[in-house]
Amino acid sequence: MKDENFQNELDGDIKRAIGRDRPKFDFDNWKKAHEQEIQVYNWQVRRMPEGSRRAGVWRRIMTNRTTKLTAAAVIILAAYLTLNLIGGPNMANMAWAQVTNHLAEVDHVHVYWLKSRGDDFIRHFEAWYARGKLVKRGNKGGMMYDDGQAQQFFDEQGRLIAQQPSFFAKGKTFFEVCTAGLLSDENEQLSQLTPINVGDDFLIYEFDPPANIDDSKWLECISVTVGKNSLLPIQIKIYEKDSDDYDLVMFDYEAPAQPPEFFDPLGVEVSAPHGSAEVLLDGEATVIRLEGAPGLKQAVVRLHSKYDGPSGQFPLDYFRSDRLDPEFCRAVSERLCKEYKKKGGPLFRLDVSFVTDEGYRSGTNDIIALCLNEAKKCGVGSEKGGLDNWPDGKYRNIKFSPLLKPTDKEDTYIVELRCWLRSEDS
Amino acid sequence: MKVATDTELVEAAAGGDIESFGKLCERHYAAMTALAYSVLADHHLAEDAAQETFARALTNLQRLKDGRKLAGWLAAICRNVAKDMLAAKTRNLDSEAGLRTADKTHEGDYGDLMRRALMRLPSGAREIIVLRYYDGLSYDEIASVSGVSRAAINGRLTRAKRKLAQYLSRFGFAEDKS
Repeated sequence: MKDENFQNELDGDIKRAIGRDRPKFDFDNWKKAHEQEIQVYNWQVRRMPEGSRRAGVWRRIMTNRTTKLTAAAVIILAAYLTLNLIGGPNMANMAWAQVTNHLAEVDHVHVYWLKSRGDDFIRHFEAWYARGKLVKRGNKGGMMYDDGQAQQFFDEQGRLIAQQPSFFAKGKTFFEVCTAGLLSDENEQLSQLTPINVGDDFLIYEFDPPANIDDSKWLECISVTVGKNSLLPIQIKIYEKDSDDYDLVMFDYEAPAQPPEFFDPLGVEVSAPHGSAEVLLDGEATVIRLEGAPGLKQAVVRLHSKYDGPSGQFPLDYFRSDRLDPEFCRAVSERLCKEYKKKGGPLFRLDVSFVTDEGYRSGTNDIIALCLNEAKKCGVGSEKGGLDNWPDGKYRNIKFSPLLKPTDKEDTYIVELRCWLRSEDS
Repeated sequence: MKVATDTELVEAAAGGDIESFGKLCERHYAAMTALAYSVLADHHLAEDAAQETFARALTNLQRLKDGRKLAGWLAAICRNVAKDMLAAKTRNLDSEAGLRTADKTHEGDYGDLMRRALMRLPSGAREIIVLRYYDGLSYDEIASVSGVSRAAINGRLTRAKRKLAQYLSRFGFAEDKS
């Protein structure tokens, strides 16, 4: 009640401090004060009356997403045909590094990442980069803000779910971040690659999947179309092994699509954890009671495999799992090793599973590697189609963010969990 | 009578019907004034900024590709105009004006304190509060200007007010203002 009164009082105070009657707009006076702009406008209208009408139709057509995609596909097809029919030997020695160098100087980019699934395209994410800041918006409305210092992840309800140091702060370019490291500048071999196809307007580069990243197992090849004059990537196609599906990434470099404020993360505070507990390193699994996480009752966590030794001796079998392919585990260990060399340690592994209100136990996420005081974005449960086969057959997916904090006791740490259960209805 | 949509009015205005542009200005004037106020904290300057926004919009109307995005587009122009005006205002501040401001801060007036607290909020939070309370814009109007969903407005507004309350409490105006 007291809170409600305070809210009402606050509303009243704000209104009194800044409120006013809705201002009226006097268009006639405005026109008198802006004759020069009106002259420019009239001149524009007179200059291209036909063009204006066409622009109107174009505007209506291009409001449809499917039409936009179709138009993009037609342009791409035309580009390919041009390449194959008119392609010449010029610029055949243009190394990929020159493209990435050029790209590093670009001030703003808008990226669309689509996934082909059968006859459909699914939007994977959309990203905007401007002046050192990056915003990625996922398919379901989740957002990632990278301001060059930190990356902040928000779920579709606008809740901050994870934070980590910015990749830009680690010297990555936006292109590397956007392509999840597929086309890293660090790969010397890749930097020297030249186009496989040279057309009047386009260069085509084709890459084998880099062997040092986790995704190399399912990738067939990556093809990048680059503008011949601009030397900027226009589209990337990422082909999957044993599948007709591919990812299509499109880039545009028009004037910034978003204002500067768009790149500032919401002024939210980190919500209180839904559960936390002191956990003993390499001890038994600990049950954490969860509060304020609808549908979830408990989490079961186990902290193990602390590594704080020299980076040169980082064990390449650090990451092990009975349920996963050994090659995959090794690739993850190698990636962790690289991160460890850059960031240092200590590094821990945390296994997490959940118990729902109905008493169902989820599968265990055992691929989490954590540094101290660094939140991660994780998930467990069922994607549509069911990975976990919950006993009642319902769809459930659990998103969570674990945070590991030190204590003053030996081998004892605090695990904080923020978690959300997604059902089919949510 | 059917009210023309933004898209229809933009189409007509782009084709040379300036009165349609006038209708768009009337429709979005309050929101643009509020938006500019959130940057400038001055009613008269905010109205000037809103009018300048429409001037820039008129001469760039051919570049607006989708009439449904008019509100967001105008808002982006308005923020830039207001920021330019704020920069000019800051440059022109003489020492006398600085003193006037300094005197005012000692008045201890709650309204003044509220305005100062508002100006200390992050720009996004300040914007959403001003849009809501300056002249009572609806959630739909706020959503179209700020580019976030209607559903997200309430959450953002609550968080912004919580921050505002925190600032006020630092000055001794907590839940019990007496």
